[in-house]
Amino acid sequence: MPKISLVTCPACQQKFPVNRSDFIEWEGDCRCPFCAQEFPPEKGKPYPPLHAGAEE
Amino acid sequence: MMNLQSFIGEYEKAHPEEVIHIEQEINSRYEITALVIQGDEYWKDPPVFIFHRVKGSNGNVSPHPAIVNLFASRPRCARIIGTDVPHFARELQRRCTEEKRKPVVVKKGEAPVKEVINKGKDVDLFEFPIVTHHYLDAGPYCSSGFATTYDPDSGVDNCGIQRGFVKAKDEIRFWPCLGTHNNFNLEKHWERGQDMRFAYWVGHHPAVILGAEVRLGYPESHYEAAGGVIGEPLRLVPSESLGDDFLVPADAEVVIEGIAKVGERKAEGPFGEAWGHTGAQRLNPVIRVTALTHRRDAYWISNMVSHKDMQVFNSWREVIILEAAKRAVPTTQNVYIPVPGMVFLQIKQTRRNQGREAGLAALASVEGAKHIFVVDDDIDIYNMHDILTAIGSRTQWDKDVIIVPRGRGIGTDPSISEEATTAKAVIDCTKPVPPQPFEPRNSVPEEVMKRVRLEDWVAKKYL
Repeated sequence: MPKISLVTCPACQQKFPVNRSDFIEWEGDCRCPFCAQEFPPEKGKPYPPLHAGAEE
Repeated sequence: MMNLQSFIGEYEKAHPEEVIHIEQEINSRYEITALVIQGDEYWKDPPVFIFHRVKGSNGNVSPHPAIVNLFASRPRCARIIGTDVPHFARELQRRCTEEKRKPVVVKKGEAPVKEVINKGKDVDLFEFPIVTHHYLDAGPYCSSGFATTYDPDSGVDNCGIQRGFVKAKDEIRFWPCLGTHNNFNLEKHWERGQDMRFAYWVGHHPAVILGAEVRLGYPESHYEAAGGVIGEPLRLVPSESLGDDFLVPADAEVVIEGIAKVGERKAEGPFGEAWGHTGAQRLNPVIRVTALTHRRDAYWISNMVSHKDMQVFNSWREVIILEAAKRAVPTTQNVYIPVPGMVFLQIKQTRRNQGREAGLAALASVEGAKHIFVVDDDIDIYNMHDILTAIGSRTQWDKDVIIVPRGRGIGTDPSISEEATTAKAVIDCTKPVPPQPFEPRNSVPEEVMKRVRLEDWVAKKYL
């Protein structure tokens, strides 16, 4: 598994990378570097998914 | 005590071509990096840039100058500690280990960094020209601040340059990378349910910066190592908001004090990393800034991460690698890390297999020792053509390469595994030791080289 996932900001649709292990361990919101929107990474349809069994 | 501005003044007198003042207004967002990239291509050893009119994140021109590229030239790094390029790592190592000096504590009235003191709602980090380095960066980054914490058991200081995303005028999110001593201190505090006191000090004499950045044992004072490198005790002063036992450098340009509240982590990054790729966003500790103190005419330093200005980030690894390799092979000569992950180690062989021995010792010494290329002492480790010649002509990779799987990686290396492990390798590029024969290098008799000079044969306009 790669160390990062790409998420898509639900507000501006821009993509950015998040560190998988951090967001799996601590479950905080990510923050879009383009529009500053903060949201749970699952809402950004992370690829690959953060958790096993999650939909791609 | 010597400080950043006294250094700039003296250095500019001695080397006026190496300090360029730029009065034209420039934006802190990407524009400074654009100039640095072009400067890196134009100059082999880029000069220091001092920008006097920088438009910051708040849209205003900062009252403070921004300085970059302090460490972009290897000859300048050597001159900073009074040596030459071939002896740089050795001299830095010697001063950090053999010349340590205990710091002295001065009164607040004697500390230039206390000329301006702001607390509470008066804190505004955006008064400084903090650079947004690369596309995709989360925002402006403190890239040259020494993140400073104390070990709660021994009370010993620890500091190192660790990036901080300046999220708001009084909030920074910083990354104490796993395995660093600041991370040890953070975990100790948080496991005990304690908030952690924290300070960034930004800007000092570059010898202090080189000394304070060297990796030491834990717990071991970086302030003492910095004093050793600059050759006089570092002057410290009690903090404004973290207690009198939390000491910060009195002669720094800027000090940012704050608290990392237990368990508070927020999104930090992406950030253009030393490895030349944009590191992914993380969940990192939040620093709630409690006080901001600085010289009235403070300079703000940015270290231009992933560009030639990165020298300072590699020099402390060179020190550790050199020490380890010398223990294994006493005739180890020198080491150079031009970019993260690549180590050129030079040895003088006295018997066979010393290339492997020095390489393996270097590889195990520090997490940044990823690919170790061991070369002979006739190879100039600062000359890429020489290095490539050694790799190309003195290796057979079926027997000269040792690969060690699942070593400890650096979190910012984009190629490491999800578990932060990395393969490491020693590539022994040394020749066989006499009496084993090896084809000699091409050369011209020394007498001819001395007698036939380019300037005597080619018109001046071409040189």
